[in-house]
Amino acid sequence: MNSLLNILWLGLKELRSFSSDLVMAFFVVYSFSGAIYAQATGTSSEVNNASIAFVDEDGSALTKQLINAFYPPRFQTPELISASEVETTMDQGRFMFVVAIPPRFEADLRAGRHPDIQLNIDATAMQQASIGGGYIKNIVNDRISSFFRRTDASAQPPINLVIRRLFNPNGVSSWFTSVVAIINQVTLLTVVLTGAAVIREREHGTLEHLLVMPLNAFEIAMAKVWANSLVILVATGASLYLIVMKALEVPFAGSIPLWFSGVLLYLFFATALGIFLGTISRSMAQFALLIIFVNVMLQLLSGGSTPIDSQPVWMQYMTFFLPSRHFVSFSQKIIYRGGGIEAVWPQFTMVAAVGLAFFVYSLALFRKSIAVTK
Amino acid sequence: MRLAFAFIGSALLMLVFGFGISFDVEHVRYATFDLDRTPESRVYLEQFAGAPRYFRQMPPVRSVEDALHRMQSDSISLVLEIPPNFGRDLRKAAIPEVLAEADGADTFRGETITQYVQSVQDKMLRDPANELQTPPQKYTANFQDRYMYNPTFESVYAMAPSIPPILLILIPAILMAISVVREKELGSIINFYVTPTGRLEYLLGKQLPYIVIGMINYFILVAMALVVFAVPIKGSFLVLTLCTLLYVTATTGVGMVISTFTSSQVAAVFVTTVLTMLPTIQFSGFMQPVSTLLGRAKVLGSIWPTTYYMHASKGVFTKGLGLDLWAQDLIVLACIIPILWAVSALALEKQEK
Repeated sequence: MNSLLNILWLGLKELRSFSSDLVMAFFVVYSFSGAIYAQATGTSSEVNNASIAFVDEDGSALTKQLINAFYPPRFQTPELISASEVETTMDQGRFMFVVAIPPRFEADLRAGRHPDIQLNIDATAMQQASIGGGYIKNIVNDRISSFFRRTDASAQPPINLVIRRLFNPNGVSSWFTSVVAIINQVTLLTVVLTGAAVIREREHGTLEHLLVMPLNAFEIAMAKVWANSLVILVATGASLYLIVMKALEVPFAGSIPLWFSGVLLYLFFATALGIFLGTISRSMAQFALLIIFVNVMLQLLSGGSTPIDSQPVWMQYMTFFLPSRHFVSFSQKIIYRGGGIEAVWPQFTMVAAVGLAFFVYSLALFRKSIAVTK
Repeated sequence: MRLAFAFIGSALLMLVFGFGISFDVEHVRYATFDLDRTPESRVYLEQFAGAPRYFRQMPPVRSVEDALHRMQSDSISLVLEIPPNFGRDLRKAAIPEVLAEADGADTFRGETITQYVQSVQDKMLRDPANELQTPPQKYTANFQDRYMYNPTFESVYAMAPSIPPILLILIPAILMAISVVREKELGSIINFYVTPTGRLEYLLGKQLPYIVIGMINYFILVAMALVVFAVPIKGSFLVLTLCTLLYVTATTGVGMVISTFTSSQVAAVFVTTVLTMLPTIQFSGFMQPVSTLLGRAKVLGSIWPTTYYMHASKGVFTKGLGLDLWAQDLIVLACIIPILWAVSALALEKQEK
């Protein structure tokens, strides 16, 4: 009981020292509002405003139609270039896609042949390259078939393939990026805040103040966990409601309390990681480097930036131990697919397990480092 | 010690991302939901099983609920539903429908899956020997894809030139910010207050060692790209080095600006990570070209130094760009530096308040 009270008071002290730092408070608010909004509305894996050019060596009525099939916002208005300009314009980065239509294209099609179209793709932007390439093929073949259907009914494909995207019917990528952005900010801020709280005490010597009081390491650590978790939890809740659900109108298919239970588990892991990093680093500069390495890793390998299934198999085994991967995974399941606890319990368990391991280990470390200072 | 740590850490991240990040969507787990069970429906579905690189077959789905349930728990990402009478309609040329339901929770992956499905069907219909007893489809063009600058379309060619721009801003900026703020916090900045050292002299003196660290880090990362990933430099190494020098000066400058308005090391670490992480990873052309960004993301992306260095780095590594093509990056980077200097010199107080 006494211990619980200690944890409560120590946590309130954390909150007070946090709220007195206006610069920090301002950046927490920014990270969960402006930063998330900018990322969700500004970036997308969809093809958007892509530059495209045509080399039209056929010059038929059909190719005119094909060129007209590309228009904003998905593509920029196509430009016509000559075959000799393909290399230089792509080197300059002026066009992401150049479609080269050979001579006698329409005539060949009419004769039942399958003429070749050359599609040049700037592959340095991989996501847009693969998706945009697919769009172009579909648009071109659709247009060709509707062009010939006017004169020949058999131009229609014999099977009508109906494609539906479940859980996000229009493929709006802000649905996904907004939630991934929250996840990234939660990781970054929680680890920095908690770790810095540990280091600050040590560098300022206030840890000694705490140690002469009748407090133990567990209480000091636990207070940091709950206080910092609370700050992030409130920010996450506000961000989810105001930015994601209201401003970006992302529907929440599953249960909100269930998702927040998951967030709590994850915060437990992230605060434990923060304490761990704060305890093992000997100076702020070291801590800063660790923060960067760990965060870039947690962010880019979580499945939020590139699909987990795309990672090499050995990498998938390694990322299995990254709680951020499970955070992304259970968020997808709850928020978009509307999955219940029966769908997400493996992820919950894994996050809790890694969190607990970190917490126990860093508590031991923390105790040892305190014992040394004693 | 700190130095060794920075270098080893960067090298490690380069390894992990070079080998680990990939945009290739492969082995998509799918299940069939065949309500027809005729030779035609089987032939149709076999086409997907015949593309094991892209599709991996899971046990068939029994009902609509079963399909939804398995989609929700992410054990499958695609359901192919063949309606009743598919075979009969196909023989009568009544254009039957096939329903492909893909998991769109991850938008990029969902989009890619739907494109795979479409192209499997297109290929099947064009093949005269497809056993569906439909006449081969007329009026379709063949596409010959030519992936420029990355002929095998492997992620490592896109990744290896993109990692150094990220690390060479995050690390120098934060180290620089800490080094100035540390003096404020420990009080050793008093030396600067009481001596006639000029503001710019003080700042440049602090900046120089971090520029050197950044350059060493750059050489390590380039060596790794060449040796470990075997990604060749097609353009001029000298040009890239020049760009790097400007870039690292600019990125330490970002740290310098941050150090002027933060007063504790904790705040410096916090503000630098919050400010640099997002534009560097999301808005600088790493994940998607800057020209396709929208709104504020585009504005941020076009003033962020990483954007220009990313372009130069990808250009020199994969495209072998000539003078006219990287000159813009060079000029922009060179212009950013004095701006950052001016801002920090103005904001740095010569007296403690």
